[in-house]
Amino acid sequence: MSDPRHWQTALYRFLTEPEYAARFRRDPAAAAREEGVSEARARWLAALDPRRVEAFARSAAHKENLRQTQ
Amino acid sequence: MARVAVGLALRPQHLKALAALPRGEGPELVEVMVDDTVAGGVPEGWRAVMARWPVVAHGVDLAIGDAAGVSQRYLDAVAARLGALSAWWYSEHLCFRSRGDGAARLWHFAPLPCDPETLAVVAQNAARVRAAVGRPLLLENPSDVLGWGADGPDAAAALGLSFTQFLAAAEAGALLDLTNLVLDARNGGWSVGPWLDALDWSRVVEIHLAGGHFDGVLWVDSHSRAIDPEALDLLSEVLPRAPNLRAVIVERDSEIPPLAAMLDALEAVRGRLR
Repeated sequence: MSDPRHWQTALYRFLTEPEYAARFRRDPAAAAREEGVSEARARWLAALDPRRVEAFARSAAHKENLRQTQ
Repeated sequence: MARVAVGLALRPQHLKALAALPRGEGPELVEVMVDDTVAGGVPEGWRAVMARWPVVAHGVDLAIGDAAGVSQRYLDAVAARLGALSAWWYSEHLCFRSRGDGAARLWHFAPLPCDPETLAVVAQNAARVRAAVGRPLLLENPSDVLGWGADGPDAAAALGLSFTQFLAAAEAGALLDLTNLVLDARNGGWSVGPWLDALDWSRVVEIHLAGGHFDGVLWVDSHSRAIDPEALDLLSEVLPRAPNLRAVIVERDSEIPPLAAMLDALEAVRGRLR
């Protein structure tokens, strides 16, 4: 059983805090224990292509810009 | 299949030109972005357009998968706007956006894992939304540049099944965004066929079409281009499978062309419906 709040916090921080992301990439098993997410999900984060993370950030910036300028 | 209306996502740049169209020309309905466009009430400039065409409402700020819950104040505001618009239905994205404590938000839709706990979150939030808005709720498959669940030989079927399970949990209709689906498949290297085979077609009420762009690494659903040709071709394939489809909406959010180009896009869609 997993608490969605833990996973959503982990993904949010992974996408927005480089140091937090680096901790998952260095040792996903330890990060999983510390953050209350499953090891499988921690390993998915650890293996997530940085180019996808960057694309997410660019897309988010694009959407934010649209909202601010409308 | 009932008659399908071909509509346009309404943008301020097109208001005057739309209002000036002769009767019987243009879209058959308009989709209004409920979060941006009518905050604080329906602006005067929009009334002529909204009085002339039926309205469906679309949102981006709900985040129906947020484990922190959805704000009742926000739901009340949306409900008031939907009432002012006389919207046929209210559509949103299947995603989460908030940190688990609800104290901070992403500007982009984040993917939801399809597990029992997350399904329960969506079910609970959706029940509150449905109660608040008092009209049909549709959920859209958002584009996912992170590629959650996109690995493995059965990824497409699993992702399609996940979408179907979330729709069932939410007791919601589907807003099938064919462009998001095509772009995700392109980015993930999978075929859309198994995804579509796993969909509960009885829930599909609306289809979105737009165009994304390749940003050098991935395809992004920027809504900054004409309709993706692959998505338009896919429309022809899916029409016979969607008995409850009511509307196909063409979206454009940036690099917005004159209305004439959007009307040409609507005509291309109508060509697929004939």
